[in-house]
Amino acid sequence: MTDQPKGEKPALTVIIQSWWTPALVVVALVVGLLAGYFGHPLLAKDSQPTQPVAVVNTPVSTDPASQLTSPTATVNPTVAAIDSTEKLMAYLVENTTHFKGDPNAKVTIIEFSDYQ
Amino acid sequence: MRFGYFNFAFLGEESQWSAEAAECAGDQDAYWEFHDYLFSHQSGENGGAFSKDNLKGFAASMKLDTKAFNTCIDSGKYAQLVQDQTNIGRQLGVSSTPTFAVNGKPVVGAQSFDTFKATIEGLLNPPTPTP
Repeated sequence: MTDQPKGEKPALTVIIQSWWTPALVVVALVVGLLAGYFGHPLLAKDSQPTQPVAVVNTPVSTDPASQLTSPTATVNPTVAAIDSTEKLMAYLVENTTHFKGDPNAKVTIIEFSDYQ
Repeated sequence: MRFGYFNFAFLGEESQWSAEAAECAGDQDAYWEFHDYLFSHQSGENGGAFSKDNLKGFAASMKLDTKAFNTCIDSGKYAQLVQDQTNIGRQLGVSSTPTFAVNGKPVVGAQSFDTFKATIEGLLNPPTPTP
């Protein structure tokens, strides 16, 4: 106020009380950028538990004929090795605990179901 | 014709318990009776219809050996089996029930008798036999 010439007011006045102020702004910006860069993987790790669910729910194929044999990201080697309906059925039969009907029948139906 | 039931317990803990209960009934040669009993007593999902206590009650009303059945349920004897089967289903791409594999061919959803008939007849009399 005291040093300004009378009559001419500048459009914008920035009063810098100390040169530390802009220096701190720059330091804070750098710290923020570094924290974001190095902190990002940690944030990504926190959100990972939701990923397997997404993988499971993703339709793996639109072709109905290969729908049951399409591999997913979490597939086990036995399932990955299935490349025919015969192998698929053999694997299913091996893992099915209860059957009804003729064990030597030409046709076997396996139902995947939930009691609820 | 042979029919197999594959546990795909994906709707919550009562799905898991009821599947385990059917396996426990299977220890007493009553798997299919228990299976039918469960399907005829469905009422909502995870609302207590298939609580462990109710499942034990079903076994009692079916005149099973309740001591053995209750021990089987409480010990979680078939918990791993049911989880393993459900995981196999997931890995094979099953995402809804019922899903059927008719000699390895998928039939998804509660399809009509005619759909199954056509699928089965196609298998027994293949129009273009593959080597």
